[in-house]
Amino acid sequence: MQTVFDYLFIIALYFAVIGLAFFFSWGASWVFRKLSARLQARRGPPAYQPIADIIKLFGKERFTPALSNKFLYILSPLLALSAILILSFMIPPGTPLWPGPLAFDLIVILYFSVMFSLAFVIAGWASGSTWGKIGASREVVMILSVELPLAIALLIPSLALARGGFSFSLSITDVISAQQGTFIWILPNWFLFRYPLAAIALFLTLLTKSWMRPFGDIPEAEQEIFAGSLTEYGGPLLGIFELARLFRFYVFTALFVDLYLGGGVGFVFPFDLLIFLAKCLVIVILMTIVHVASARYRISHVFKWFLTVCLAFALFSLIRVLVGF
Amino acid sequence: MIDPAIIIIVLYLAAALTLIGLRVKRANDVISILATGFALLAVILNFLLFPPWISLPGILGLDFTVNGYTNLIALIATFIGFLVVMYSIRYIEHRKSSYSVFVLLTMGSLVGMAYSWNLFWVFVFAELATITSTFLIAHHFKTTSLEGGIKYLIIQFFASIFVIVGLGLIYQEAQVFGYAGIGVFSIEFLLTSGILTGFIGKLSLFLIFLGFLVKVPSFPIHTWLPDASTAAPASISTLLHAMMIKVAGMPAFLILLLFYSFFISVTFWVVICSLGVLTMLVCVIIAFAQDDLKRLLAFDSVSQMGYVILGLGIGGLAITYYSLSADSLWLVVAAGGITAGLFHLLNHSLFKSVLFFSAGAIEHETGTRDINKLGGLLQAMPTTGYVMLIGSLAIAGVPLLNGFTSKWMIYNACIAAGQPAFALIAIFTSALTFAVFLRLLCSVFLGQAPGTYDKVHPAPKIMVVPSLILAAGCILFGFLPQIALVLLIFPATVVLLPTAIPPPMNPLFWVSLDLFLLATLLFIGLIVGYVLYRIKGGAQPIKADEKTMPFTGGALKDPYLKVDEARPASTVFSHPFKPLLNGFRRTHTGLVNFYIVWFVLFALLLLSLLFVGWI
Amino acid sequence: MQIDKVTAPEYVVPLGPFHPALLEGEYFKLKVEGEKVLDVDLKLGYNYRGIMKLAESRSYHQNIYLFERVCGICSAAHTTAYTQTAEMLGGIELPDRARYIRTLIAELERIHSHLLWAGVGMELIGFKTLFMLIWRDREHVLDVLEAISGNRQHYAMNTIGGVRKDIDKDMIPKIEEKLKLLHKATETATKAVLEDGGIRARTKGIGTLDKEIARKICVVGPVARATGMAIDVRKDDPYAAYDEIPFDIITAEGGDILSMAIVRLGELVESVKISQFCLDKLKTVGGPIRAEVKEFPTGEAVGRVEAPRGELMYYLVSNGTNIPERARVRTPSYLNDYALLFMLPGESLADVPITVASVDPCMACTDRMCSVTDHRIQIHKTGTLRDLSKSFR
Repeated sequence: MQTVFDYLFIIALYFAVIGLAFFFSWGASWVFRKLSARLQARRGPPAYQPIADIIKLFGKERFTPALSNKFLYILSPLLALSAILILSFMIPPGTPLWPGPLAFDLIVILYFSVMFSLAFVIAGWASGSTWGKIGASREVVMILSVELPLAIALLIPSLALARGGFSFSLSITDVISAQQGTFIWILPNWFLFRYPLAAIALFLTLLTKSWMRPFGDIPEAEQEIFAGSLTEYGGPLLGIFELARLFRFYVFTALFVDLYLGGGVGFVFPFDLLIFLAKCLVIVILMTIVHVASARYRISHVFKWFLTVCLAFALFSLIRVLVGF
Repeated sequence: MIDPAIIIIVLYLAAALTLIGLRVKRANDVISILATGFALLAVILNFLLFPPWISLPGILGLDFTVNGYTNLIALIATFIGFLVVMYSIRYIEHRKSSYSVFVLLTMGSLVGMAYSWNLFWVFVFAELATITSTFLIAHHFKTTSLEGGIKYLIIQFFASIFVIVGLGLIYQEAQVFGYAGIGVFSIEFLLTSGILTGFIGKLSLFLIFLGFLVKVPSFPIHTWLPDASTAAPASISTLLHAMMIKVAGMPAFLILLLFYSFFISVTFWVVICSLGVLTMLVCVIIAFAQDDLKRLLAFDSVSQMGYVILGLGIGGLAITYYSLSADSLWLVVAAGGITAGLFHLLNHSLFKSVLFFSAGAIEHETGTRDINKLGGLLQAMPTTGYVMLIGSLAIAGVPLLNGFTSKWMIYNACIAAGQPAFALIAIFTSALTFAVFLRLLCSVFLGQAPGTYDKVHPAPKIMVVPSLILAAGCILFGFLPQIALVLLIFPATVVLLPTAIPPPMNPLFWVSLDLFLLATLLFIGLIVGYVLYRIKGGAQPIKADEKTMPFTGGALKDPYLKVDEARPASTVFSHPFKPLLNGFRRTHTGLVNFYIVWFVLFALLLLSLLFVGWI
Repeated sequence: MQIDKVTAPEYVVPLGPFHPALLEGEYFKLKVEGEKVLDVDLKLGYNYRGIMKLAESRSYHQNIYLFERVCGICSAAHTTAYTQTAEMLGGIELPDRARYIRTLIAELERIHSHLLWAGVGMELIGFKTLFMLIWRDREHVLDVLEAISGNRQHYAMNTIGGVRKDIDKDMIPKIEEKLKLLHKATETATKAVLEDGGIRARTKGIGTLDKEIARKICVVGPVARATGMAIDVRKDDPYAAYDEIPFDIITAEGGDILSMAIVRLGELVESVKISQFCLDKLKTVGGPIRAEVKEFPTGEAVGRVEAPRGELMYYLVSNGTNIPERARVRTPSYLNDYALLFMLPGESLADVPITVASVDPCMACTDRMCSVTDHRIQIHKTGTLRDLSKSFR
């Protein structure tokens, strides 16, 4: 049984992790913007820019559009923020020594990531805008397309641990600690090297989940449908959405690093965190390069791509896990 | 503790008494409420204090048994039945007398079926319930509803043939003739005597199982359910979906129990699991293509029953593994699978009733069930809207609602049993369900209302209260699934699997998630967001006026939109997979003979598997 | 409470007049099912400026500057067409050097316009990087134009009877250097567009314009050439120095967005070649840059040039004074825009912006004409400002 003290400790830890996630996301967001600017022959913003954009929004007037459902219009950004904060808390920062009751398993992570997208769908419809509805419907198609490869790629590391027997664990900490040691020669024992195709599938889905091109920004393609779900949002509520979206730089990269890049395993306390963050930054940079080097696809392409190529990658790895070679 | 026979007799008597309603206004409402209320209380009482015993009229071979499993099924039947009767007070306006009679008769039969521990009497009660519920489906006496009723009856009787043949085979095998032969069909006897171990025994079990699988229903033979529930009044759809398919499908699960003991075949259980997976996936895809509110919910029901079949199938698979390897850890997995399946059964009856009650309220107030024509109802009927929101999110498996917990347990059981592929398809189905319900919610409740909805009133209170109760149940079981697991589900699991390990020792069973903590964190997140929203303080939000109309680019009504034609209907949702959806939809022609052919082909397929000896 | 009004499953998406994809005001009323466009209605005329009416009150020389401001992107094409028509009226022969300078400016402008189009097109399919890089390279040609004329846009080079500024001998090597850079940039852009999977996926087979329809609705310029019609005013009715310059007409089969891109990118290469040819000539050919202008006798003349967007036509009527009696402009976008009514249906909503951009619509050019709708008897008519002022008095 949990005592009240345990609960308070967990809540304190929650805020600490959120702080870490926030500052990392801020930095990563700046790296993202600066790097993409440099790659596009622009100068790029100063380091305070990502957060200045959000702070500016909090200083603006509050309003609700005339045709919106007021309750859901306000609730959906809060839901998005809440979901992504929980996600950033549930994904351990590279260490397998994450406190016991918090070993939330991968399926819960999967569901909360869907809940995050749900907030955008509800926002699009609750705001009463045509563009919002189109954006929301694109978001739904996106969830559908991404869900299956994402689920497979997320579960492959833990399935590889269990190999079908009873002693299975869906806990993300077990996956991290299983990546200790070396794989072949000097290659570390990361799932990246053991299941590279699944890693690619997960990378693509996470890229899409974090609004990166070629697929990610389709639901809010500004040249086509203004801002999609968020067309009618402004002021503090848009600020909350933007804040929630800022955390994507931590959550989705950390997920990849924990599952496929070994987190910070093999180092003692302060260093494992640093190694973990460095790996996250590498993923951010990779994502930025893909983002910058690609055009935006159509939503039907997403459906096709993820349910053929990406799914094939994931399924191939799944079969490898099940057959065991 | 109350004899099930008494409950049944009370319900049948009450059905006779409602004839007073022909003379006295509202008498049948009072009688129905009292009778179903009594039944509900009696079942709850049975729950609180039962030693498993056999009831009084056992001499007739009518061995009613009160145990965890029968109690759970009876609880679902009486609880939903009570709410349906309550809902019908305002919902059904015409031909109330015949309605009440048949509702009470159906309920009596279903309670009888739930408590029967004898395959013969299960069959008799199932037939009674089928006949009486046909009248309920055809209640409106319009062409469509009569057609729906007759279709229902034909397919059900066709399924009964399989059951009768199966029973006959058992009778033949037991070699006990005369009236006493009914005792042969007692579950206890079948389990202990060993007359079913031969091939004929297997075949007979298989045929009975197939017959009852129609009532569950499973994938290729599910087609009667959407047709029937579209034709029926919404309260009857609820009755069909939330209790009828559970109770009438119950024998299928009982048969599964027998299979646990007699079938040591991995292939068989993989086939059952595949059936469940196929059911959930195909039907949810078909549900996506539906424009009729009730039809959509009906297909989704079938899909949800796929989860139940999957959970129980995984249980069977694990038991098979246990008997092959004698590793007692498999028993834990088995208990987990069965518990998850039964928990989902319970949860499904909760949220599906919410959804059908709300759909009924919408139809009652607006007169249409077409998703494309509805819109913006959240302003007009807020309570129904939010209740439906909870029901939809629960069925879609959003964390902290009951659907999530049971689905999570099913995934865990699948992975533990070494079948992650099933878990992955189930997760994908869950995402599809999510999309189906977002489409429903968004196009019916959100967005702009067409001008004609100004006159829509909120539904009458008595129609909202049942769904409120059920929605509260969804939230309660979402936060504290342990209540349901310990009090309701585990006793039932023990009946199906006597070696099941009680909760605290079973990690799959005892939800290891700290849902309370999760809820606290979610709440903290919402508070943080709200503080940020109000951080500027001071000024009131700007009032809604012309300037806050949605921006459209300046052409329809410069530059803000307020026109009906720019109202995207639910068609927004179905774009990239439309050909797929239409292909699936085309297979459901609505022709009975076509469906019967499906059924026969399916049965032949499974039987040939049996004869070849693969299962 | 029965709902008697049946709403159709399709709905209307208003694209424009204010929309991030559209640089200028135009309105597409898209009837959409899901994301598929079923039907389109097009409305132009959000930017009426009365330029043709203004031209009737200014002298021929003042009008040069007026017509230069019809459009910012193809200003040289407009003045070339105008001065050419005026020269036909006045019977003026151009000096050789002026012909080469005019051709050079026209081709440099074509390079700038096509690069601008390519950049915008890339941005509309979400390829922001290529947009930035193409626009960076476009700066080279703007530098050249600035060095020659002193302005990045609105070069004010053409005048009746010749050009206003000469090109220094010292400047020519610098321009050649820039042209080399441009050639390289063009090749890179072409390679990117042809080889990138994302761009192919977004453009190939999208917004296809049937050749027969294209012929019927008289599309011009790159849009016509992309459907396989080899029409080009520079070849068909040579003006300035085009009669002696060897160059190819770039055509493509298919009529989709990719073919339009291929045609425009191919034309970039040709334009660089033509510019180089002109520069070589300028090194040797001397002489005056401007002929003497006497008077404009009564009469009328039609001149046409190949603007970056296609055939641009001017019509002038002279009554013997120094002010034209009537000036009429027929811009290429006016013809090409209507091709959209045939290109958009059946496409996805996501492809609408790039399809609209593929015909390179220039609203500033086109919207000098006003459409008046009589709401009572539903007649659409076009008219001059004078008619308008009469009818609304």
